[in-house]
Amino acid sequence: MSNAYIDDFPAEAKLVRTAFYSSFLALALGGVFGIIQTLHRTGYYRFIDSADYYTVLTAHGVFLVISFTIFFLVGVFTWAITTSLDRGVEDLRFTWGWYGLMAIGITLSGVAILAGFTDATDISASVLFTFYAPLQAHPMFYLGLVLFVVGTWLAGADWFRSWWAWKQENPDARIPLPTFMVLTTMLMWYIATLGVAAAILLFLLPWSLGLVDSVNPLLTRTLFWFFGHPVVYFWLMPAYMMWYIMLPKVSGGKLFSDPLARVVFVLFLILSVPTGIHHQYLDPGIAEGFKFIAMTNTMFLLLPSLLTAFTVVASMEHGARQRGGEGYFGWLTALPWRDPVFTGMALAGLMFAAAGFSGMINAGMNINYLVHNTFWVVGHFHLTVGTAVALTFMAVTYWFLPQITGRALWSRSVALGQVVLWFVGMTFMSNAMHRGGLLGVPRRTAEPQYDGFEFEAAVGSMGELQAQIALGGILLTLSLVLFFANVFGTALNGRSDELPANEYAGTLSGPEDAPLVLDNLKLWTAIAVVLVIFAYTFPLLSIVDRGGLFGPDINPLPVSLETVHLLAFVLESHATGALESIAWLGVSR
Amino acid sequence: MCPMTDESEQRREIGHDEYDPVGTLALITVYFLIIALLWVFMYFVEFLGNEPTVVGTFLTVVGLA
Repeated sequence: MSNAYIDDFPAEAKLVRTAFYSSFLALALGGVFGIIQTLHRTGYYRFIDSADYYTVLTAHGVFLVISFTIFFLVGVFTWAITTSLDRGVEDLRFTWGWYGLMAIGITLSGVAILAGFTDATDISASVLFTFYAPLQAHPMFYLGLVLFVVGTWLAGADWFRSWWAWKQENPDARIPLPTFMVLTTMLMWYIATLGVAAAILLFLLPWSLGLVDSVNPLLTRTLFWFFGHPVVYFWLMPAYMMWYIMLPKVSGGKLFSDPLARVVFVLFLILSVPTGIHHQYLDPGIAEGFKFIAMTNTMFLLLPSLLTAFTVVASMEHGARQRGGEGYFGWLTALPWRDPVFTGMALAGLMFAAAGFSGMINAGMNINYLVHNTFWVVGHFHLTVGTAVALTFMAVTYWFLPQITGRALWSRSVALGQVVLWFVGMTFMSNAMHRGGLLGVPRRTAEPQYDGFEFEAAVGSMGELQAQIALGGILLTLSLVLFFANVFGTALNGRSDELPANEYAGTLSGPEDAPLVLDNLKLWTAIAVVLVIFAYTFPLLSIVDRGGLFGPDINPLPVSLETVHLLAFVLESHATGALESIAWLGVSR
Repeated sequence: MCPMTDESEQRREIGHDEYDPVGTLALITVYFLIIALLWVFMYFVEFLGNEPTVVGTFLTVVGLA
């Protein structure tokens, strides 16, 4: 009998397993669409109509950054809460309830997207992952997203419930670090998703249903990015959690500092949301001053990432020195590079360091003009979510699979090859994307080639860049095949009694060194809300003032900064109107 | 099939007080130098031969003009 997670929490292990398998299904689908679009865009192999490219792009984006990442993280968070509080979930039916809601939601959205490939129905949702107006999807797409997000809200409630129950029994204990990370991440998520909930429920869904004639595109864009930037931290923070609590352990050491880890997560809670406008530096209709505030907040966000670079590397170094490593750089050779869990996470972290630089370029208001809407941005997020997050998730899967299935990993060598192949493939693909962006190659374009115009590279050539992207895409696809071979192989293995125990890293400087105020979640949430109000109230009011709540096309509303109460009245009357028309629709049918 | 072996071959125990992360300092210094060089390089990519792209008076900055 071993002490794996499945031995201590068999029912929860089943849920985590189901969430992981859901996430892997999305990864497989997203990967297929990834290679199709890579070969199409680069011109190496075009077997779909270029108009369908945008359906492929939507599927690639939504399946990977919504379903793959979020299903995986709810699994990780459930594991983290149950393991670190050492208690099962409070009510298993509730837990399966939120999982079910997420699954139904993403299925509806996914079907709406995939239906875009056939003319048999008029359902389609080729609106890209950034689904703001004027692109419009079938109502099923928006409805599915709503259910999915509500599912994640309930998941958060589930984890808070576990924490409250635990607190009753341990009134004076510090919040265990993994639980602290889950709670701060979810608080950030609750604030962030208010933007997308407002965008969908007030505007996009009524518009798609035909209840309102038009929307204010800038308003839906701004509400989207209110959510669209913090969502990247929703993907990233579980990866950070793995770097803080798993990477030190697999390196053979301890987490350098628990207090620093808490500070990092608090900073993400505070700073993630009031930054979204940095995606809109080129949007007319938002004054430069507001963009400047968003830029300042964004630059502050470098702080927790640089703190993480220090803490995580110092924890790895601690492991390396305990394993006999010496010197300024020699210790690197003492790290367990043959362990896929370690190597995958370390390479993911290395890629994230490169992404830090391209992120700083994106965040700078004037330099952003150089790369905005170019392939550079695509290169950037394939380093962040596509490697820092995805490769970390795949690497820790090799640790989690035995824990949640009770079966030994099928092949460590294949796993090691897989993570290295991902790193190499992404190196080719992403560097070429960045360089292409500097030449002005646009993103979101099926055929980035033009009559009478050639992109001119100072170093290399367009052909070389395209070749690197296609080669990178093929290596990434091969890497995915190896990953799934391991997932299937492990599932087909027999039960093992010799699994490693379910443990996470100890700390050199523990929670007793962390100031108590760090655990004051109410305080940090309040500060986060105040910052969001500062960053968004005036931009939103000025957008509504200029373009109207439902766009300039239908009766611009007399809203101004002085008449905020009028705004409330208008909102109310529109909501009542919408409700009445729903009721009327119901009656007339 | 291969068993999950534990690779953590710990040779010594290093506590909080005797641990000095000089290797981390070295790596982060290298990273800082790379970032600084790229920042200098950016000048050539972005500004040489171009005017600065964000210009505006006080009124445009606060959205009044």
